[in-house]
Amino acid sequence: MPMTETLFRIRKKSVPYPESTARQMTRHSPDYLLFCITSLLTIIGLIAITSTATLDSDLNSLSGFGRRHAMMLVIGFVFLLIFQSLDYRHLARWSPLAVGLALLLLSLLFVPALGIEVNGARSWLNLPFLPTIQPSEFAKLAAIIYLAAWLTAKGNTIRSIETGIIPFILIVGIILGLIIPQPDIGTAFILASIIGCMFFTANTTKIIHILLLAISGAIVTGLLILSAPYRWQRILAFISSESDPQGIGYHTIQLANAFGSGGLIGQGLGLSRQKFYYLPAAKTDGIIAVIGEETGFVGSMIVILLLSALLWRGWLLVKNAPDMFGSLVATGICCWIAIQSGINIAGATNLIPLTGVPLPLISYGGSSLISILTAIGILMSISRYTVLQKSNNSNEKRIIA
Amino acid sequence: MVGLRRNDLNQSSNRSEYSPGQINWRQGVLVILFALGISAIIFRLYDLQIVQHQMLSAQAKSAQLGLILVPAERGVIVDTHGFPLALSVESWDLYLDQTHWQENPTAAKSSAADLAHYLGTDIQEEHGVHKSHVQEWLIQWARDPNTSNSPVLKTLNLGQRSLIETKSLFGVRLLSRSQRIYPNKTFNSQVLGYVNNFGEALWGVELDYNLFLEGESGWALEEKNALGGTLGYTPSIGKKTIPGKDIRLTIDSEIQRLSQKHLVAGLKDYQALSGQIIVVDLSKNREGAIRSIAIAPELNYQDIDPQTGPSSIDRTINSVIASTYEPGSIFKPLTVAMALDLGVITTDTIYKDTGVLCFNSQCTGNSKIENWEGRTYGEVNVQEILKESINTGAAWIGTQLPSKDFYNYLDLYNIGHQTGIDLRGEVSGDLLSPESDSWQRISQATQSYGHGVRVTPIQAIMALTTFYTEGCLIEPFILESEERLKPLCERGHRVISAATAKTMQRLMQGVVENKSWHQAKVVGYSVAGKTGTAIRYDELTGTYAEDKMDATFVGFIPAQNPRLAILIRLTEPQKNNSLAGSTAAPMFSKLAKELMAYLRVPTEEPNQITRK
Repeated sequence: MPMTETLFRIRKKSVPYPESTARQMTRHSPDYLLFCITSLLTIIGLIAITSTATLDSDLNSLSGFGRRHAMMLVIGFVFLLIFQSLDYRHLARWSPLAVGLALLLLSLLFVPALGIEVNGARSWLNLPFLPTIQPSEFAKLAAIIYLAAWLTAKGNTIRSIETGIIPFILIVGIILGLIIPQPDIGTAFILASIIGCMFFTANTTKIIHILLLAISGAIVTGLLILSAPYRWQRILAFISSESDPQGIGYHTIQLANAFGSGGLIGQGLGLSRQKFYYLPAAKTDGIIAVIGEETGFVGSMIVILLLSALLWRGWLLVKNAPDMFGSLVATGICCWIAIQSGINIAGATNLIPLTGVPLPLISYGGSSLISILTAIGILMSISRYTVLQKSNNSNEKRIIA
Repeated sequence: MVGLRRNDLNQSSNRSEYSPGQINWRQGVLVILFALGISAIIFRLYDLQIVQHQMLSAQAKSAQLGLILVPAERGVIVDTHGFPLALSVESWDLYLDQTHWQENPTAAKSSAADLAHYLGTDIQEEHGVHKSHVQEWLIQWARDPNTSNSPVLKTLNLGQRSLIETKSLFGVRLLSRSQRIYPNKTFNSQVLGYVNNFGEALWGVELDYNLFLEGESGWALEEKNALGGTLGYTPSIGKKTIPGKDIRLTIDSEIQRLSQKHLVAGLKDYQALSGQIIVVDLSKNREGAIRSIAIAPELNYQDIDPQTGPSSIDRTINSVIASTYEPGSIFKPLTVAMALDLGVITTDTIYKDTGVLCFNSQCTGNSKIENWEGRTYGEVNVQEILKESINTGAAWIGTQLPSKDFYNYLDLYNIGHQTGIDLRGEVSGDLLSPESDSWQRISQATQSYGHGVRVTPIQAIMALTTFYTEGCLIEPFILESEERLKPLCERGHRVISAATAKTMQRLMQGVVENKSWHQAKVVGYSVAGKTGTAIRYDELTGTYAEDKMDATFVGFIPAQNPRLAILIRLTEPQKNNSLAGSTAAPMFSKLAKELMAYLRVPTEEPNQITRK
């Protein structure tokens, strides 16, 4: 049988779980708390972006970026509402198509007329009649859903090398192979981690396979770092930012200055000084530093706690999803939010080397915002079908809800 | 077996069995890892924001704060009526922000297009760029490191400024600077001085009183963005700015204007090389106040480039106080006054003129004194010696005094000393005294009629003014000050007795009024005064050039109770035999007439004027 069939043929009728195993798949109201946490985080993001947007008063658009971000939020929430009302199980059928589309968009980046290079990375796609989009953000969501469907469909056959591991490496290799050369190592790393976590938690996979895949992934990462001098310099700057305060270490020092200036309660909303060109990418990758400077330790803690609460709601879905597909999708989305937030905040606070990734739900950038809100819509859809265990407490809770 | 089949999905085993509400150990591991990550981030944030707050905050501040100098506003210089002669205004220059324009070429391009739209004509005029190329020219200007730091347009007018301010174009900056304005563009600048566009006082009152005028600039710390631009927060003041003090001069703008007008006209009429006019107030309690100093050739403010300054530094010299010359016959009244004061002659003393006065037996060349054109006057009295300006007579009177007394009097007249005018750069002149080896007895005789002695114009007029200030020499002044209102003789020192001064006033009036054709006469007013024509001593050749003259007239009007003392000097006039009586004197007549009208000095009764 041709390899393509292995990768993409999930038959129309093959709903990724047997009807016999469908337990009480009753539809109930979604997780409103999840929705509230998401809304709060996006509001914080909007305020922070509007604050940094005063920078661009020269462009005759005092809050131009704030307005554009608000517009993206509206679009994102429309996607969220659509997806939370759908039955997430249909996604399994459509996931090969979604991945195909994502791969097409990623390939288009290499067409000279369509791909736009910003800060040395060819990650933005300029299609007619559309605002510039970042296909890798949509690719993350498509890959999560597809992999969840694939892993569910594979079942125990994943344990075999030829029917499980080799196709898996091919799927992952094709997607990453289109993201790494942009070059966007940050996104590639995040996607690889999400896929790794899903593969790991699937419980059908062999630990020895996981170990081998992890070791080969580490070797590839190491080679990528050594292949480009600027990545190596970032690592050096991470080890000692004081060694070169005007060069690579400058960003690290300015980020620390922003957090430190915030203190306990911050300088006050809109009163960040570091946002005036001191911080690298204040609107996008550095937004947490602006929040930290303007609202202090209290403000950054609120963001951390809200993100943790979001993960906790996601974790409940991982646990309570009615089927393996739902659980794996929830795992993938939670890992996405957790890993991307972690890399962003840990990078900004100099716990790990600085990498340019946006902070989910908060950073400026339409593609990231819309795909994450769509993902949360999918989480809410899963939450409509959660199986509530025999526990009386849960039942009561559900009734109250 | 690589395809997906329904029975693949149906396949059930212990491992793939999914049961909701259950978690496997792998998921547990993941949760623990995430929890550890979150804890690490929280600890790190606590460390940065709470523990290191002070240190990092200070580090951020030190990068953000920039020192800004707050220059003091320079004091205003006004004339005696409060009319501004020099003042500082804030002027605005248009700059392009090179950094911003390079960062965002698209915005820069639209900014340049807007600038070309609004200020295209002005840029075309200033830089000679064709209007259709202004946009590209502006982008080139910002890109070229040679031009990007200089203003595109200087000293914007109010309309241009408000236009640019309201449009808030990307990367277009308006920077202010203090500019010195001289409202009276045709004002002669040698006395008042000049401050260039860099704020440097170059000469004159501006330089002499610079410390007083400029004040003390202060500094402040201001928050800046990473590119060095201001954030617009209120700066914290490190040292307060002390504004400069204002100065009120005794100069009267209208008298100054009239003096300049007549000096320039006289220079042209008599084809002189250069000239000076000094007008000194003699009205009660204002005696010694300089009302105008006119110097020709003029250096007008409209001819000075604010960047490069005047073309020649010689033109900036205040020759009234900084150049000396041999005054000639205007010195004779000084000699007569000291002889009268000492009592060696009286007004009735008769001198028998033979046309020559000898100082040794040979009586040739350098040992004899002759009159103008070799004239002989016979028996003359003191009034006639002054009126006819008889050299032999003045030399005879001068030599009647013992040398000790003669030089003592000259000393009291401040000949060889500075007058003490409140301007810097005054010179003291030269006087050959008996202490010098080259002094001869004839030196005292020639000095008696103003030769062999060099004075500044201000020394000459102030020495003669002694006759009208009760015999006391007073200091001239150009800064208005209440402290000057002291009795006359406390503002200087006595030279001759008040009675001798009175006699001299009568003799001085006689010089002009007793001569029916004297050209210094002014209709309606009596005039007192004395002409002086001296052969110029050429410092280059060390000889006297017979055809090069200094023509001076010092006049007092009205003669009875003078309101003004006026000195007019022309250097090397070519017309009218170069004589002061037919060059400087008629200039005095014209100027004094207009000044009397301006000052509304009442005309005198005709009988008073023609009185013998």
